[in-house]
Amino acid sequence: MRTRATNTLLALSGLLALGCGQDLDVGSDVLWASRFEGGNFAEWSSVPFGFGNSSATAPNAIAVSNEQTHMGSSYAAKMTVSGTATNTQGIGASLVQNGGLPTQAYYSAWYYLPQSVTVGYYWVIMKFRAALGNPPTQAELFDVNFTNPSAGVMSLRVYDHRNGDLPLSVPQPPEVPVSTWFQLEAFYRDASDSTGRFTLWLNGVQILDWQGATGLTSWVAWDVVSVGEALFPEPAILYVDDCAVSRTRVGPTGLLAK
Amino acid sequence: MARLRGPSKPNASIQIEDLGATFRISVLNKVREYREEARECAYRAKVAALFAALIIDPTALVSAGLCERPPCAPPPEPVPPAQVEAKAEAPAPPPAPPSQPLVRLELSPTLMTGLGAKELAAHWGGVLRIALGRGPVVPVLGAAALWPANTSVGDVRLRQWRLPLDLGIRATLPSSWIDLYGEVGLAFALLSERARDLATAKTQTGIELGGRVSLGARLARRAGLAPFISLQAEFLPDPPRVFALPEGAAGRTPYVWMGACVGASWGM
Repeated sequence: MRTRATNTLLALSGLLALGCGQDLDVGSDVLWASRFEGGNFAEWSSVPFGFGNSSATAPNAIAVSNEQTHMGSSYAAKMTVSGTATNTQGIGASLVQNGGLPTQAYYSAWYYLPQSVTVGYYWVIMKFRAALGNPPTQAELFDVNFTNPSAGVMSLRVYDHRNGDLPLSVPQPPEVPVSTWFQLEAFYRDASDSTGRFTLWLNGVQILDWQGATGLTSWVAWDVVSVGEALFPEPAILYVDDCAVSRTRVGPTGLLAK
Repeated sequence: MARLRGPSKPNASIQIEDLGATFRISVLNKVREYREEARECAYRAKVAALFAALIIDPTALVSAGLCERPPCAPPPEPVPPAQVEAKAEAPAPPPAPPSQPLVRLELSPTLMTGLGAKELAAHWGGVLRIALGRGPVVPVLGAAALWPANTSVGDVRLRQWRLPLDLGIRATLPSSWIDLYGEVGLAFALLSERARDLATAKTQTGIELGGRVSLGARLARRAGLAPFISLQAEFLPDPPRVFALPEGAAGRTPYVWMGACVGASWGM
């Protein structure tokens, strides 16, 4: 009798456990993600779109590091640039998704700036390239840059290689936090007519919404970089983590893995 | 019987026909049908004899000539049959309450919907319920097969399929023309969700567990088919969570499911 009662209780407990708050993982809109948790850059070499790479030309460096990581992960990418006073060739450290990207998608990356840096000329941290010109050739299109609206304050500006700086949709330059992870997310739609679009969010706040012709073909490239000129102090260090290409917005609370 | 017939009615005959739960008595062109489900021959013969006596010569029952030996005992009061359906002119005794069916099967189309979803899912389907026992409180078991429906949890759009089962008790309050009943019990369901427009979509199945209450009304027929209508609610304290990237935990499937049925109930 006791065994029967115990079995009944066990069966009921099992049933209750089965019926309590299960997680139904129904899929993902994340097309590609890099969390660097393998301790290397393999996620950037075997990409589903075109090809990718990680590179840095001395004295610049790129490495997987555990010094600063986002959301309790084990690793992030550490980009170190120096010698920028004479860096007229735009050499730095790069993570590149070169071509074959969707004609429209959300591009997200988390950055960590250990200290405020004075940007003498430019410091590009995200870049979109497209097919431009006649005949169309692969060219730089939009650069997202660090800038200093005032001494010691870090902010962003967006540079269109065809027309110069794009006006931001916020009245004051958005302040980029120092010594804190921040998310930069862009929506890019590639179109040769006015349906093209480039929208940018800083920590979930929209700071740019631009519409117009972008690329002339479906070729799109996306780079997470640290390329600067006339930066002080040197070396200028930038950490990057949790990069993603997604069909829906990742946002500051989005996840790239369960 | 010959004495009852007398010389003036030499051809008077008595016919008793067995019709199953009823039987028919014919005497001198007078016909009456009685209900007697137990089919006891002795009881039926007694009723037939009494009926025949009343038809052939009602006064003979009370006359002294019927007595074989003095002193004559008063004639016995006629015993009315248990269940009577009168077809003759003679007044029928009042009917006794019939017994409840042992098994009641209910089959109906149903509409079920989960409350709280952005996009309300309307599941159409069929329900089969079985109630066992004759008492006012009986166990009841139900199962439904529902057609898939579209819904959403958070910003995740889903194709949802559900197979509910329940086990409980039913208490019935009978009346002359309609029976009201209520049910309470446990509800289980297999719940399957598939993302409709994620880049990588998966189908996941979970189990729901909770309580169920229902109220219903049925036309008061003791056996055979009777129409019914019922409303039900299932309450799930800890329903499954839907998870999708990059949104993460998009939300939970409904805490409350409501349903309605209109169908046929078959008492056996």
